[in-house]
Amino acid sequence: MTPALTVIGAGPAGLAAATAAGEAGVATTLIDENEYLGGQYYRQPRGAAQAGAAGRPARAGASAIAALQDAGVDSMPGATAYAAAAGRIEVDHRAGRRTLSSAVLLACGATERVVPVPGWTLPGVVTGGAAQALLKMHGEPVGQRVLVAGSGPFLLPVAAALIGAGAKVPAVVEAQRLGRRAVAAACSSPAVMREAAGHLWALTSARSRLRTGWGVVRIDQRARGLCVEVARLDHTGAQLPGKTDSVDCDALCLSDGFIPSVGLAQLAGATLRFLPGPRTWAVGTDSPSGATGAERIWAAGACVTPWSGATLSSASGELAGRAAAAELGGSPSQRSRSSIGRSQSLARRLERAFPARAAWYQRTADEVTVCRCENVDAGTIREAATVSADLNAVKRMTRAGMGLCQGRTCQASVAELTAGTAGVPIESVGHFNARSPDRPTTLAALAGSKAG
Amino acid sequence: MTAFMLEIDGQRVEARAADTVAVVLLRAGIVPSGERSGRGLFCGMGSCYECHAVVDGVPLTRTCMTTARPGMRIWTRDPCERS
Repeated sequence: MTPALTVIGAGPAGLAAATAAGEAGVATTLIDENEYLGGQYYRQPRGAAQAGAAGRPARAGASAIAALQDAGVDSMPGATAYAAAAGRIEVDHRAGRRTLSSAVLLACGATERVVPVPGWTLPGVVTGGAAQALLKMHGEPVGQRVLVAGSGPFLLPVAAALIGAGAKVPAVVEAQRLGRRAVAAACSSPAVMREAAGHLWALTSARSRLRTGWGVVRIDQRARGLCVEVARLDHTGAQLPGKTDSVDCDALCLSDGFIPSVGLAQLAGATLRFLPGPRTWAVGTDSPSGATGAERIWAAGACVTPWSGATLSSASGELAGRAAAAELGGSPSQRSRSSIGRSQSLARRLERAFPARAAWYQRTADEVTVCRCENVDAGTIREAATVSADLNAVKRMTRAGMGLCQGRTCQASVAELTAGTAGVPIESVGHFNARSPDRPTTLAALAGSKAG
Repeated sequence: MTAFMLEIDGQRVEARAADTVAVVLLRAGIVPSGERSGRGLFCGMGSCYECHAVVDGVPLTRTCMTTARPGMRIWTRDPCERS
């Protein structure tokens, strides 16, 4: 079947978008790299973990997946989109390469920001999202004694879930000094308040400390596990001289915020928009339709709004799905299920309460690996930044961002180090150009591909 | 719980039904040596490629996104190290 609309990404935004388009009578295909639908937040339990009580996100995901099937949407899990152009997407699938000629709705989500510190490439150091994935799929904590550190409200559910699965979480280390803004965000609705209170209660009951205004400065490998050094940070995120502390653990979860996944959007010709709070780039869209400005390309969810959370992602996905369907000759029903007002204001409050900080990158000493794929250290990037303050020039000089992950892991760090060294605003260094293929792809697939 | 065996770097390792290859490696404490020394599971969602391995002859397979199957052969080191 040739779809009229292809939705990329089967998380909350993509599921809602594909369902809305399918219900409007548009032939829709939903593709996702994972073997299972749901994305990160809705990740479904597997194998033995299924027998245990599935959490609230997994139950919400199960009903979103059921709605998708009721809407007659064709889903293609295990399919990697590696190139996109107006009206065409190249997909690598177990069954072989496919070219889908259709309009595209991007719901590619976000990845995590992790500030590079000495030792962050050691085994046992993972992102908060990796720990969540292991818990949600397998019910297993990433370690027995796990430190959770970084910045943002995501640290709390990670710590609470680890505790729930039997791990000891000695502390949650939050870089921001939480004040009025964080309280305002937490109190924005009864549901958010309940959620935050539940996580804090889980921490308190397990005698896990919430240390705000602290950050990880160094990770060392010991005979048994990791030794993590944490230090006081000032209100700008800079390390204060003097007091440090060390925490022993066998795993460390790092998460310093979210970075929208924009590679396919760039290839498809969409314009990116700089977000001053998260100090990163997102897919630019017209709210609420999700239209990107590129012809027949829409976007929704965390690739547009990194702090959207499942509620806003799902609502914005539905609206974009309806807008796409209307343009593609479908007939969306009069009323949408969700409203985006309240969840949009929560996303804005979170953006203000947990801004990314330039000063965090002072902790990235010159010898620290920044681009993990190409093994490029911070000193090499700083040296290149004295020659040019253009992010793509730094990329060409150093190979940072040219590896397997195509810069998804290091882009924010390379940009901060470049801007910091050159003494220019972060938005002026630009963003990495996207190149096809967006994901490593076999030559066999490329040989049959018409994408340039 | 259904358990089965697979082969990692020439060693037999037990896996459970619906495990990803990444969780099998994590449980067994297997971390690549040689060129890719120490690198392994990082983002857990297919973005960073740090957990890649040769799975049944296919290089650059992201183990965090790959379901383990009985008899699967996994090589975590540099593909060129294999004799």
